[in-house]
Amino acid sequence: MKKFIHNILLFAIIFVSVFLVIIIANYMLVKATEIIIPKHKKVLILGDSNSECAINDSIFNSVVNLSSSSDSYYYSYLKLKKIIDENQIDTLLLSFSPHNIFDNGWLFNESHIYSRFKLYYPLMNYYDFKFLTKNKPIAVFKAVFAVPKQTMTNFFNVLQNKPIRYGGFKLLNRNILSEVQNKLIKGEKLPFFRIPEKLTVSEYEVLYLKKIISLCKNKKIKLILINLPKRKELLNYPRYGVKKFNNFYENYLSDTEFFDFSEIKLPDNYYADFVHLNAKGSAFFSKLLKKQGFKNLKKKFIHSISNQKKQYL
Amino acid sequence: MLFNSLDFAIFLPIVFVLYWFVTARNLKLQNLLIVVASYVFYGWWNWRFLSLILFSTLVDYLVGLGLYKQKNPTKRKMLLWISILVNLGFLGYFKYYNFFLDNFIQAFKFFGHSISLRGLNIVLPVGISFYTFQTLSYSIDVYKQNLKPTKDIIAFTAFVSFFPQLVAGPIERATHLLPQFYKERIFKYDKAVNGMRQILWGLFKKIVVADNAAVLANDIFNNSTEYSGSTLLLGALFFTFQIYGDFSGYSDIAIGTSRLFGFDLMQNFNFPYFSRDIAEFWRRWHISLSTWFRDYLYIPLGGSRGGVWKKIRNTFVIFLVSGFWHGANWTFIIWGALNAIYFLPLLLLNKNRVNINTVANGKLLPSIKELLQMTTTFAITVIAWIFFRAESVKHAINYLSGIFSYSLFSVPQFSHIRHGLITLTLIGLFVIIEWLGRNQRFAIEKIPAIQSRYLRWSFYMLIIFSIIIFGGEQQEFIYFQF
Repeated sequence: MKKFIHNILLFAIIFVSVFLVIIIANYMLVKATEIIIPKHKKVLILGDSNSECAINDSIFNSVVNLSSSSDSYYYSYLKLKKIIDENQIDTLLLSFSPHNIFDNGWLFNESHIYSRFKLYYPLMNYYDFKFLTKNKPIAVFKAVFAVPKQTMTNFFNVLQNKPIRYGGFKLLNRNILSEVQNKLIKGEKLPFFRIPEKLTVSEYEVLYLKKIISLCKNKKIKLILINLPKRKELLNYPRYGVKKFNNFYENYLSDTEFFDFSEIKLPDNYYADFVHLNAKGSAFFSKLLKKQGFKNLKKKFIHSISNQKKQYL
Repeated sequence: MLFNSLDFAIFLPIVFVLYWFVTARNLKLQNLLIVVASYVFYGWWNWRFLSLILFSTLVDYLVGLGLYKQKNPTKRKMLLWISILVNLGFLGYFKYYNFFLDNFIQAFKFFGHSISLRGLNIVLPVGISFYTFQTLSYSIDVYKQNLKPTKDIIAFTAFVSFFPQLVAGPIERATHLLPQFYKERIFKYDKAVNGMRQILWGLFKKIVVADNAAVLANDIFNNSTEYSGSTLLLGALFFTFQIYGDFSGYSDIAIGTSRLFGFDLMQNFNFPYFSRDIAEFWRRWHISLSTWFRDYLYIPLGGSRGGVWKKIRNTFVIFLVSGFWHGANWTFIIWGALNAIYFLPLLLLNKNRVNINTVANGKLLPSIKELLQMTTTFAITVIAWIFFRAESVKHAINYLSGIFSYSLFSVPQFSHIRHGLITLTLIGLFVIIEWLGRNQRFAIEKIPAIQSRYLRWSFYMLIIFSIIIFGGEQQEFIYFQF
């Protein structure tokens, strides 16, 4: 028995050591690999699948979209820190919708942590890491096991001179509006989207949203919160919490610029589902943004939800 | 609790330490610990169904004692029937009630009558088909006087609920496993290390082979109407390896875990995909179930003795029952029938025991003849697995007709092509390792032949990191549903 325990412990120590070497190697690799954004691209878009699918950055000259599906503000903040350290960005467009501030599941969901931690842990400082491990220690422990695979991917990417992917515009070709409509009526789980369980503002999301605001302020980056087009069925759905969301903005964030495009009426075939635009929708919406220009947009539409409605209805 | 979960990774060392360091000096206490650990293991999934196991245990324990005391043949038979009815009753109620009800309604509909009966909205208790068969074997063996019943209720409860094999086998015979609970267990280094090795290989089979193949097989089977014949064939191949990796992987983990506690369980798989005919396949696939049916059904029916018709009848009975054991669906029954059709010619021509030894024994490569035999057996097995995996008989037939179309000769195309290529490569490596280790109880059993400890440990490390890097999305073990 003594020999067995001895060998098991020795093997475990060797295994943990090899594992740590991999984790550290990946950490150093990611730290050393810059997120290179072409110098003429000064406008950065971050956020979740809302902005990921709505703004086609290839239509713009100066815009880069690094949004990623179900990214909470925690991950957007980590990404932003690295990007602005290595690039010159003057404007940040950040996806800002009711589900971003109400839904805790996005940040602490075990599968989300599993898929995100491996990519983002090299971008975390001690406090960011503590924040996650303090709230979800087991999920973080499990997520660590996804690091070796990510390390392999990162090494191959670096060897092939490919960037480490933190997000980007996603073209959707689907249109499942009627299916989603039926599910919403029946109160069933919606595909590709989770309606918040409770309309309680997530202190964690707000904490990192405020960190983003303060970082932008310090680095003199113009921050624009942007609520992207959504279907009226969702906006009218009581549990989506539009009213509470607008109150929250007015009460706590009113000094931050905010464009609300959520109520723009677009043809049915421009939507992939209730919250995402498809290829047609994103092309239309991106061209619309381009036509207005971000500077003009600012002048015209700050806080002017009603004006905006009139403009596009 | 899943073997491939963090819960089990914590549970196992705790039970191991308690077993060898706290309760080791008292056999009763050690058995009691096994009972408690087993009930926690099972209750982790759904504690309410523990009452079923407990009830089944009590019934068979009392029936066993009754059979021993009772000399009157009629009363003994009655006692046996109590055990059979209770165990099969549970199985029938939870697993087959809705199936029979649906078919009953359909039959009435066929004759122009419409009846409305409500089905049961119940969950199938995990592993019910396994532990009911295990306890049944006890009652039958005691009835046949092959086994003396136990008075030790703790040992018997531990035998019924032994956590490594409780939910998906191997289905142990009381004559083999129960006596091990009476004997003092002595820790043996080689046995424990061998167990660890088998657990590792089982995890590789499950997490790398089965879980990766599952994602692809599910995608292709669930969208079979959209895919070409070649892709459908690939989907069937993925499922073929999924079910093998999944189930034999589970058995390896179960057997390995048992060894850590000083127990020996029967071998459940013996490299079935290297079989040269279907009879050999069935001697190598789910051995604990095949031999159970052989001993408790096939032989009592007369086995292969008697006339041609009796042989045909018995073969069909055993394969159909085996199919039905897997699930309450016509697809499983047809899967069983198909295997009976494959098997019958060999039986009737008296060639069912031609290939007894390991293929290409002592050689690195098989002969052309052996290769052709293996390929043919594998191909017909793949066809049968389509029925096993399909949602319905119609689905299976459409799937098969999709394969045997002109598009069979096109390049396979599906949404996870990169994942597919990686999985095929991993399966290829897996088959090579299995082939090289086909003379052993599990493929990497003889690794100790490598003298250098560092080389050996490097190999283990390689397997562990393969599991971590190439492991697929966590899936439940397929056989949990049976």
